[in-house]
Amino acid sequence: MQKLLSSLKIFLLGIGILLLAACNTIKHGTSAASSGFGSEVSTSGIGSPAEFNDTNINADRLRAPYNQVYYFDFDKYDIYQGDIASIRVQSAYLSAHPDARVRIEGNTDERGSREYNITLGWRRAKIVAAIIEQQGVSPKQIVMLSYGKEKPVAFGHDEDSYRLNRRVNLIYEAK
Amino acid sequence: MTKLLKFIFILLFPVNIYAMLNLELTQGVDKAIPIGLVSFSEHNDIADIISSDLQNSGHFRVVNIDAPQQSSYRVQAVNYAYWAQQKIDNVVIGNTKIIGNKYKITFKLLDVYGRSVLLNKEYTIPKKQLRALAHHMSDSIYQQLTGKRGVFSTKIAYVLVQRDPNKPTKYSLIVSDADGYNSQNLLVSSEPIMSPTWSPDGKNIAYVSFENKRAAIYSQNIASGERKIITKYPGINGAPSWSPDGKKLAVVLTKTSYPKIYILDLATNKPQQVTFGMFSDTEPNWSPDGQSLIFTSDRGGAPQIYQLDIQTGEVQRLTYQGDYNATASFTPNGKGIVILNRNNGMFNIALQDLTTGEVNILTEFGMNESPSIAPNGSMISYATHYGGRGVLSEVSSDGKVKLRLPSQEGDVQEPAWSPFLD
Repeated sequence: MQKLLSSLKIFLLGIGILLLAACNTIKHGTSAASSGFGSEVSTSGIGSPAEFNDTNINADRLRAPYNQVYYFDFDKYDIYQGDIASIRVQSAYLSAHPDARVRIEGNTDERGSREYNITLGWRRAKIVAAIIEQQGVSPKQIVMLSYGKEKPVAFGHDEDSYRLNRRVNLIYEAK
Repeated sequence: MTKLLKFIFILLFPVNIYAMLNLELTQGVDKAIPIGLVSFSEHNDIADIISSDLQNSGHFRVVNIDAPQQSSYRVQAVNYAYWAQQKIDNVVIGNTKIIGNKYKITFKLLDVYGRSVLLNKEYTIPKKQLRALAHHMSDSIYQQLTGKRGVFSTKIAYVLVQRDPNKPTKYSLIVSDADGYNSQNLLVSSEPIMSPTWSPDGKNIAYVSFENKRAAIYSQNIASGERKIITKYPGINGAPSWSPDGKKLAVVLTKTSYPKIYILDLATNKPQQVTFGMFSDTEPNWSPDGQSLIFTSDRGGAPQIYQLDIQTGEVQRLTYQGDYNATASFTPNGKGIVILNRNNGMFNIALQDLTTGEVNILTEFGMNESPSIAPNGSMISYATHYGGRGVLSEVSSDGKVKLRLPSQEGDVQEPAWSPFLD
């Protein structure tokens, strides 16, 4: 019995090693088959709020502030307090550049109804727009849009991906 | 241990999972009707198509026979004793003749025990209409033996999303036969396409397209491909739903800055707001009598289903089971609603009886969405995850029959079942 157990252990260890190898194959196979899945592409193209907090408006007059991303909790559209300073910098830029136009795009994670997620993304875009408008920016400079869960940036079916997808993107269209 | 080994086996051989994606009946009813199907001809696969249709409805156990001695299409030559011995109640026999570039096809449905002819039909068709004729014959057999109208000749619209790190994501709006074959593009775009929905006459599909980086609702003629813009207001233009008479479209707009439901008269394209307040209302769906709309709203906190009496403006809540209910649509008889239900974080397709309030969860695994019911109410098509991809599945309204549709490379989502098309 003891012997059987230990050979079972070795067997399971072997399976474990095979599994590790298989996981790579699965990842590889999946990205080859349907492209864009897997964590290696999940975070590309996203600006970081911390980086942005250091931006000096006066030093950056000729260029729109770096495209900005704000994140949200599941099924919520409350802005993180820590993001408000960043949004104010965007507002200051827009106020200083009345010709500048910004698209505020709301997004959600992949869980639930597609059309309900469109309304959730919309509420997220709206809260960011409201803060910008409170700073005196003309509503004419703002276009709001919700993609719901149609434009994810991370493709895993886990909280790591969900967190990155629940976001509002600011995209400058004219400067 | 057996379970663990099975699990390991699945992980080690992912390729096998992908290979199984074709039309797979994963669960059928206990008392399926046994039916014999004799091959029609060596010239085409018409018997195979009928066989798949009947088998995949979950209501039939099909026994295919190739043996020439059993395959005579002449009733006189049918060996009833043989079929009775096989415990087969009904037999389909048929014949194909080639006349120029046409097929002349005859088929008969026989009652083995009564030794009688239940159906006897003849068709002359262009060769390219073979699949359509096969589905039509399946409908006749299904109706004769179950008493219900079949949906083998209906179609399904869906969205295919193909992501490639080196190219823009490709979104396609596709229409295919109900069995997933014969797929054709209605629209291909590098921006999202959403919420396809059939007009009641089956001639047009309304959908949301984000081309030009803004949402707009379009209506496209399926035969000609011609389309027109229905709404393109700033913000949300979403969740179109045709009224039963085809004259109106319920849509979601953000004219008041909150997502609200509007009814649009298609003759004038003028939207009239029908829900009010500072919350999100979406996914309108008309009752079969055209008097009310059901919709998703977060007015109570989490999304739930509400019903609006269009005449009086009165709103009442319909769903109470689960902390999230959305994407509701009426069953064709109006007695129930199909919903996306979340319980303990699991998203499943469910059917709620409007008289008793009883909710029947029809799916499992919790990654399901976008239910769309067949026009005879027998099956519900929905989107789910399988083998790491988005695929379409079907489940019968009683939850007993389950199958997966064949799928192409990419994620398949948002099936929309057509009405009866003939």
